[in-house]
Amino acid sequence: MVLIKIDSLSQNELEYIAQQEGIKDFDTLSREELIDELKEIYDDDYSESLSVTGENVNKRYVAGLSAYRGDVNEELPSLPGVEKLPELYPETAIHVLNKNASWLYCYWSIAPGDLESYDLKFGSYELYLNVNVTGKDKSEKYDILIGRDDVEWNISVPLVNGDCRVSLVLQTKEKRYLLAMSESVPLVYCYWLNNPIDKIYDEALFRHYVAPLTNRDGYIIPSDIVEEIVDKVKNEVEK
Amino acid sequence: MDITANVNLILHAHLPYVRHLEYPKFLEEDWLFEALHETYIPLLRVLEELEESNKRFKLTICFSPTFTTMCLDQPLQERFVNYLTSRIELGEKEVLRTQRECPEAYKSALMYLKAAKENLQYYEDCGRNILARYASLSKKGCIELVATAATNAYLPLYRNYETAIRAQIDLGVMSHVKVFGEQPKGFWLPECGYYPGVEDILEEYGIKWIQLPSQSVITAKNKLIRADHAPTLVGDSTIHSFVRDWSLTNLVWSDAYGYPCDSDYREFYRDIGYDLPMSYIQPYIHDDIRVFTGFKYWAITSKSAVNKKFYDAQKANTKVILHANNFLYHIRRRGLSLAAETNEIPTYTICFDADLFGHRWFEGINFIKNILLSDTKETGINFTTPSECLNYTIESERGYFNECSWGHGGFSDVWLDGSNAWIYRHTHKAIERMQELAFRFPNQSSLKARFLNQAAREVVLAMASDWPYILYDKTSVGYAEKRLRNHLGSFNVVYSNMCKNAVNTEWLIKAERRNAIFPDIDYNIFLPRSTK
Repeated sequence: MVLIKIDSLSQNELEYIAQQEGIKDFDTLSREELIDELKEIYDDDYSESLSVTGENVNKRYVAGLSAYRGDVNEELPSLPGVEKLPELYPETAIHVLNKNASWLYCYWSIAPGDLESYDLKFGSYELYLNVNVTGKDKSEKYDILIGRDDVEWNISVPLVNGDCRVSLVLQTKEKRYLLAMSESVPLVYCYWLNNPIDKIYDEALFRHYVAPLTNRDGYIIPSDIVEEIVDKVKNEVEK
Repeated sequence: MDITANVNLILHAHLPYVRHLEYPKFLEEDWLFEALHETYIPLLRVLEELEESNKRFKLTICFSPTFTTMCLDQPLQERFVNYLTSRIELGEKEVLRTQRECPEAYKSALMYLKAAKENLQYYEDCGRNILARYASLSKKGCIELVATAATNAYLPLYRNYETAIRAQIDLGVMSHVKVFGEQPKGFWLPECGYYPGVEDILEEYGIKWIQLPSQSVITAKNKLIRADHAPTLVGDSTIHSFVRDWSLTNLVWSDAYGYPCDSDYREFYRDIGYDLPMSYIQPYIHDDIRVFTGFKYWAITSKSAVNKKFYDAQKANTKVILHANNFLYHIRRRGLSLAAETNEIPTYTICFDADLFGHRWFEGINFIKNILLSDTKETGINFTTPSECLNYTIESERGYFNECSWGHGGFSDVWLDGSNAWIYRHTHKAIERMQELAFRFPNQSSLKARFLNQAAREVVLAMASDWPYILYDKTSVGYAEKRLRNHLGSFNVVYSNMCKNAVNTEWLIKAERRNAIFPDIDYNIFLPRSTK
């Protein structure tokens, strides 16, 4: 929850953030110059933070003031008991997580020993992610070519009443080998995206749906899927 | 006036477990002290005041186990007393300084000094246990206290690890019973993070209701008619959902148009910790790191004002009353509009992070007081609690919801993006290995059991949603990453030792002392049911 914008910060505060961000001569810059410099640094975050509601969240600036800790390795003494984590674990496995309605996040590892044995056994081969979507009305299966050094991927999925499973596959000229298979994850299925006639029929009901999702300035809650549903209904009504 | 709407106002009180007794002073511990001083003590004082004046009011609060553990931790209590003492010392200096140099801020300085003194007195009068007072209000029926996951883990990203979900729920419910002496009926899903199936596990713990995010109804798998304004059965379970109303929440929560943005309210981000010379302020900040002191003398004024107006508490209090009335007006209007078409009295559920009130929005406690003080006969609005609603719910729809959350976009993007996705490779592996340990070494006793319990403790602490959120939000990134690596690294100490059938006693004693949370944890909960 952030209430205030960068413009509300004092010269002192702006100088403090600028110093933390490594801006040279921060103490000689004017207020406007400091704001410009900081905006440049945070440009990417700044544009990302412009939500569909038109509200400028602008979190980085305030976070910079309230929670900036500089380089943690210099500022914070080491906490006891810390061990270095391995980058990968010595196993061949694949996992899939739901990121949102249209994207899955997939991560995997191939045990170094397994890789060596594949090299010895097959010489040349390619690695794929095999995406298997199983829906009541729609199913699809396709491959994504991955590199040996890849360890994660975002996978686009349709909105269907079903689930998805991803396999890690080794492909030689002659044959495919299954290395690992993920658990299946359910996909997002929305009644209102699949029943447009119903929506027109029950317009009053739909108004009740939208009311709790609309603020007093008429903006709808930032959600791609809600936006898609509302657009679809609008189109149906206009027909 | 007839009742036009029932309202469940739910506050979620949570902070990650931050306790670093190995350092004389630890910056992130201030999160707790600021929250206690500015939100939880003032809120309790207001609620007790209402109760003592025989005002009927209803409010729902969820205290997370990490928060309650810190509240009840004696060394942290001692540090909080030191914090308040230091605020009093600063207040006394500030009263003199402002009187001399800045008379416009004098009244505010006096106000902060008074608040620090009164809060310290109140805290000592409570025996330093404010939770017992909240429990007492619950027993009197004024508030409903609800449980939540052990470390505020975002559950959808652990859906494939039932043992870990059970550990979070089990410890959450157990901790609630221990702290408040009552079985919880409600369970706050951290970040409103729901996935189909979690209700079946919650049902086993006697949970009757959960809250769901606003868009869960319109995006549900089936057609729902009343779910956004009436309790709805979740999946095939007996658990009801109460759906958060974004429209009403947004009246407060919006950082562009919400009430807290009003120009007369106190500016949160202007603090003497940043503005006064280092030589003066140094004893009240963290060595040479400038932080908030809580002494803020300016009003928001306007979004772009360079020179802020001085804060005028009287003006702000007048505005709070207007905003509280406006809030009630919007609820009533929504209720009347629905009643005109359906002839129903809706139940709206409004959820907030508790520390918005008082801490972020200085006047927020007063806002809550004003809305709770409102007379149902005059406003037509009946404040209630979800469990009370269920008492008069005869028939409910059944909703089949998709995975969802209250995060930006409504799914898991906030806790699973480029900044934090790396976490899950390690937390999932730690859970798998914990399951392996529970399977290989079941029902151990003595030192081995303590060693394994410590491993389980580290796993649940690593699962906290705070760490991925901080990485996403780019606030205390270094601290969050260090904490994660610490917990996961500590888990690996146990795992590698147990694989050699050894116990590192010296490490164990230190680790137990460091993370003194969930003393009753039983690692056997990580034993998968299929292997039991």
